[in-house]
Amino acid sequence: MPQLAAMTTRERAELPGVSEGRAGQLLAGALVAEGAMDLFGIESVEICPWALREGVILRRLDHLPGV
Amino acid sequence: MRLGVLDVGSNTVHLLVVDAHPGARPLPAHSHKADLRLAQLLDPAGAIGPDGVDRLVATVRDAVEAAEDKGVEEVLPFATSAVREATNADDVLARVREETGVDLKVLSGEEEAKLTFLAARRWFGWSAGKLFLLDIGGGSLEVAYGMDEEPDCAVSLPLGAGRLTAAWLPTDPPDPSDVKALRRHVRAQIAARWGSSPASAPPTTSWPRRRRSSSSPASREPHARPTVSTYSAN
Repeated sequence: MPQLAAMTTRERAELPGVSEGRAGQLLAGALVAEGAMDLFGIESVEICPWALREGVILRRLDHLPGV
Repeated sequence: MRLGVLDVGSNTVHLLVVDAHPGARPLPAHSHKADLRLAQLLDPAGAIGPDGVDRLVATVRDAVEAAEDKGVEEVLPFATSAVREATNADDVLARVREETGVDLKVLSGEEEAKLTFLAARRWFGWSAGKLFLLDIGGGSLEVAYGMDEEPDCAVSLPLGAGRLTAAWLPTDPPDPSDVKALRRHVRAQIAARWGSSPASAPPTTSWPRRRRSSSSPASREPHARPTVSTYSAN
């Protein structure tokens, strides 16, 4: 985290997996992830490829009449 | 059928087109993203300025056209934190409706957390046991956890990465004292939400102990599986 905090947006954009558009927000996002993990006692996480958009679709499909 | 979701978020306006059928997993067919940064277009009073509304209207119009081009039967349009918290949300929604015909549904923070939890549950399945979900968006942080598809707790806090960056980290690189202040703010917000209502607090101390390595035979038991869905993962 100290390393990330010392970097400029341009430097963060060079990190693997960091898009240019989100590089500016990376540190704030990392502080939230770290804070939540610490406070909830979570040691490791898995990244989920599905999120809100998929949830909206799944909920809609649940309400379609079955075949 | 081909469905479209139009997600008016705090960072992007994202049209996702999927081929979806009851009982089948949705297959992405097309994805179109516009970087609108609505959360950063708020004026000091917390309203989306005229320029921001114009751009939103144009982007929604483009997305609807793109959806039609792709043969989408139905579009599910919704908005999250940026529009939800804008002081002129009603005006913004009315203009989008008048000029594009799109009736954006504003999701509450709780709905947002619940729907994201549903997606994580379907992705990881029942064998994952207890799921703990964190979703760090541009405008808000969603936290949800539970054994089922409907989470026991679903909460949204105004701790999105874009919102916090705009409000707390004005310089590049950030000033160390600003970083420290933001760190304190984030932790205080989370602690205040869960510290004050013990009834809905997650069993924090038991998360690490209940997690088991996947090689152990006990891993078949329901265990807490922390899941993070980040704003950059999608």
